[in-house]
Amino acid sequence: MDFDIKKIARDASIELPEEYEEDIKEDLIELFDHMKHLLEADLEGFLPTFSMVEAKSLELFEDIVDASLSPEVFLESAPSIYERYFVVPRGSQEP
Amino acid sequence: MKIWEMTAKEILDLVSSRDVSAMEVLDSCFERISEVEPQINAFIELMEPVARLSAARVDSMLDDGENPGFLAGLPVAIKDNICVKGAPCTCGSKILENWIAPYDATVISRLVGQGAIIVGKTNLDEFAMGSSTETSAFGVTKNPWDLSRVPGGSSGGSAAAVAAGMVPIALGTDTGGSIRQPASFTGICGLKPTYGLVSRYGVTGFASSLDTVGPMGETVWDCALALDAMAGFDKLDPASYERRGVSYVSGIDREVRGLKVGIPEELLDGVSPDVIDRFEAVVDLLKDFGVEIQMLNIPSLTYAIDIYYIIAPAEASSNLARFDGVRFGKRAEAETLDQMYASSRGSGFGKEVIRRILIGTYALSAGNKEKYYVRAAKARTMLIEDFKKGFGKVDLMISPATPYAAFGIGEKIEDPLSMYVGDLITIPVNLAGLCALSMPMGFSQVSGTDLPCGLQVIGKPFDENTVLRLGYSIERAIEEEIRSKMGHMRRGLGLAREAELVD
Repeated sequence: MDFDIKKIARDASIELPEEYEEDIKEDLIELFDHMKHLLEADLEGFLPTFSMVEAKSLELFEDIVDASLSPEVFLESAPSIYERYFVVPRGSQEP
Repeated sequence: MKIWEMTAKEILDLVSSRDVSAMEVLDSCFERISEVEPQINAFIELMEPVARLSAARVDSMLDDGENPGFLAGLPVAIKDNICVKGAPCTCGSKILENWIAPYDATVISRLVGQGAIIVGKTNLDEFAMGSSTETSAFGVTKNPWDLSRVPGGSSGGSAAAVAAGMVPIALGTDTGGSIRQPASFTGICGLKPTYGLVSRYGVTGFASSLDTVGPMGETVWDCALALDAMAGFDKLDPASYERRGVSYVSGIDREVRGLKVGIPEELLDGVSPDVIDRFEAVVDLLKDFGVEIQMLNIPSLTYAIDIYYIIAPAEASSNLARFDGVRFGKRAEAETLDQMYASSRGSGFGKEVIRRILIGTYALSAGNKEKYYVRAAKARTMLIEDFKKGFGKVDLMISPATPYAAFGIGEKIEDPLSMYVGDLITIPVNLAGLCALSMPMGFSQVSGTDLPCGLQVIGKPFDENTVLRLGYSIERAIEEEIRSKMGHMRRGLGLAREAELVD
């Protein structure tokens, strides 16, 4: 089993530090090799479990305005803002 | 006995009878912290000025004849992935190093609403990904029983803070064993509640179908009391359940005769002989109590590690997408937006977090999602069904909490798979949405040092009462030995610090 570790990192939007590349690649090989056992399991008839609950809060609530924090509170933590907007560098696809 | 040596119950009794003030409790707590924290590194942030204001408020309410709540004046430490308004919340990561939480997590407002005093934020593995606190960006926490060993993780700072006598209660989070394993390594109790019982609002998400928040304390009773304050429906957590009128303290001392307790054989695989010895002694004790013991088989437990290390990283890779340098946290300078995302994340996350994000990204990628993620989710259903069958025969299950006592700092950090496999006993409880208690069951002699080892008591969903009841009955039988050795260890820590200062 081999991994294109740079492609996986690109998919995850992570600039992978060079010193991690080999180590993490080897760890992935070892871990996914360990998964062989699971790949051979007979899972016929089992539906997947993605969530543990049928939770009450997923039910509809009354449509009333509730107290919440002001946008300014969250803007305070931002690395860069202009008025009430987050400022970021230009998108890579721009001309 | 000094105040910091007392359990939560003993402290609360003294405060409510007005024999000591909340401020005197806090003085003793910070005196102990200043004495031993330089050796342990349990805290990322101490909040002494705010804690003193809170203690003064509790005392003032008591002076006026008001009731500050059933945790009045109790010092509590909080794992640093839980938001406390106005305090840093680093998650043990450089990417959140300077971020200040703008609101309280629901568990914080509930504890404070009962008069608890928040004293600080404790160390953890980065984003709770690890079993030793060695992946924290703020240094490793040391195990108070042996400073060359880890306290476990990821809630290692909380566990070490309680074990060293710095606080009587701390909060942890448990996604695959992060409360129970450090509790076992440090000789304290830790409760992983049923998924949905305690709100996660304000707790940084790691793997949302597995994450839980729970109390850690010196005794089973202390954990039950903290759970009384924390549990209950919260509309701000979409996985929250309604549980009304349940008290975890009341009925805790009911006798356990006649309970049926199962031992899943698969959870004993690979457990060290000295831990098995202690476990067998507990089994004998339970038989003496009139508990019916039977061996069980949960065949799908053999898949638990594989299931967990697909589902948890897959969910983490999605949850941690929010750390991109745009709205909060570390931002790396870059020419374009894509470069900024990648560079902020590459330089902000540590190696273990990057490793897990990449595992999850791969498992969810086109062509692999069905093969790994969906397959793991199906195997999870099989595990849940197997546990249901097991609980058709018994009221509770027990096992050791960890296969071995605390390992040395640096011993496993370069071998992630070996670290992951060490979580085999705790992980299935999260996958199946059960509740479980980790509590001291005795000591293992390693290189001439007494190291604690823990018992895990597993319950059906929302059956914390029975779990705590069994734990409490065991605790009463063995607490003399545990507290005596704990006291000896704690005095040794203080003396070591005094000697260091004299030198």
